[in-house]
Amino acid sequence: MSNIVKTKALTKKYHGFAAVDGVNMSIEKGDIYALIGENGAGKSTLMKMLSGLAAPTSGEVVLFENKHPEVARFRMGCLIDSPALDSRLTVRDNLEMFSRAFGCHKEGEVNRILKLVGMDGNANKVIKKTSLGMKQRLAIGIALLGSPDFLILDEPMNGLDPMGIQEIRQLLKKLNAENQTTILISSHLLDEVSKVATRYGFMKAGHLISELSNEELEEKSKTCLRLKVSDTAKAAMVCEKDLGTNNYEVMDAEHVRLFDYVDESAKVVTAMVRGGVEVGEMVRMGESLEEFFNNLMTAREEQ
Amino acid sequence: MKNMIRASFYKLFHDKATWISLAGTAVWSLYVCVMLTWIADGKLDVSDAAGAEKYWRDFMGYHGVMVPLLISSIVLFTAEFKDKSWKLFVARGISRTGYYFSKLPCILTLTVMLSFVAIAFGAAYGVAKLGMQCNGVFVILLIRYFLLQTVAHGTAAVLILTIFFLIKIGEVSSSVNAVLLMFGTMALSKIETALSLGDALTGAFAFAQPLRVSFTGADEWIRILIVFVAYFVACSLAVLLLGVRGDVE
Repeated sequence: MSNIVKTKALTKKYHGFAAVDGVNMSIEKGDIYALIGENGAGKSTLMKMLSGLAAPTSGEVVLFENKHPEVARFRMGCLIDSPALDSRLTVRDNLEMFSRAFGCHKEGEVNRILKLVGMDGNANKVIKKTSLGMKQRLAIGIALLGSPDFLILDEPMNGLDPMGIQEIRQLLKKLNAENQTTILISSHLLDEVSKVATRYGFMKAGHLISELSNEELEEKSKTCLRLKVSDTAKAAMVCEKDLGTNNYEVMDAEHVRLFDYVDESAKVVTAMVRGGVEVGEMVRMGESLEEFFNNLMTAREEQ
Repeated sequence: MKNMIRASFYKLFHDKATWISLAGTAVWSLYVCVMLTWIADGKLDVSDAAGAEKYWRDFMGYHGVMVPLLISSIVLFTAEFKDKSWKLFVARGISRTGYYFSKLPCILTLTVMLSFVAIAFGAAYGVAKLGMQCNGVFVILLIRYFLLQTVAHGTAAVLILTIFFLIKIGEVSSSVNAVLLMFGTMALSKIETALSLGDALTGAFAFAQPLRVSFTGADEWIRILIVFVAYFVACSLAVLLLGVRGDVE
């Protein structure tokens, strides 16, 4: 799979303060990469460096495996910070102007985008008179002009109503599935992000502290009982015969994970003891993305 | 850059500010023509009719184009910095110098349009009220005056655009800076006159040039063209040296 983004020790300092500090990240073709972090973690600064709006203090950005990012940026669409639109022009005029500037002006392109972001009914409204949600939709539409291969979306759900959030989520999934569009997205709405993302990058104080695939996160998020037992073979038999479940996993010589009976720990302990298995420890595991994020941030602070 | 020029022209012709400034020039020119007619007909009680006529003619040539050019440039060319929409161009790989040079043909086109409207009213007034003959000589003089005015105002337009691009400020601060620059140059011009310095102080200022345009010989052409080219080169160098630095906010 080809790399769409690869950064090497990417650093951005403002008056000696490192907003982004030595970030090494890679995004592969077809990823929906969610960048997650608290306010001031460096997400927007990182996105600005990828889109050429901020120059790195040190480090390197390689886009589309091309060492000249300014050339590769023609294949990117961006929405960074608040929607940046020409406030005196209409919705349609904004799209017409940007499509000309991006060299993708052709018959039907503006109408396609209007329809895609659900703005076809408001095409002739002047930007000044539109709501934040409409501006956000149009900004996403501008990012989609010319069907870019890589989208950078900084807080794209901001200002959208629940229906709008759902539509944009569906749109991103569709673009990713049909066109193999790679997407880098940041959002404070962790649950929303978890519905679209295939990979996650967690940032804190300018550092990329953890990267996970969706599968890895799901694995971590799966609720289960982790048992430290005297005999894993016997414990497995108890699970199958006494508890009647195959939904377990022998992790090593001492540990078993049981994905059923999560809220019936007493029943599990009783069954194990009856089956001649000593239970040394039992922990209820599994966290939502939000819990995982909070725990990760707390652990980092403690370090 | 070709695409960016197309986008800039699309905006120029679809922004109301362009048409409002053209209408403003037309209304202003009409007002000046009415004032000149009243002076000529003796309807306006002025002690020095010749002086008053010269004053209004200067107004026609200078403020009729310069003020709408300033206002429309502020509205058209600083809005992208205020709205931050210019960063979308940069994020799609359009260079900052490419952005600046794509705006130049736009602001020069605006200057041509404004000068045309102002001079068209002046010519109409000349024919209708002053009894000028609309013959070949008149047309040649008119075209020459139009071209001189356009190049002179174009110099100011290049300077205005460069200031906006380098400072990247909002509408209010741009207006204040531009007005200060305009009136500052006018004040300098008055000081020159008072001290009998000719145009030693403002000779190089584009803002002062429109006041000096006349129907006299070819030397006027050379001077105005030299000033235009000098400003164009200096502004381009400033943009190439200073305009590509820093982050896009």
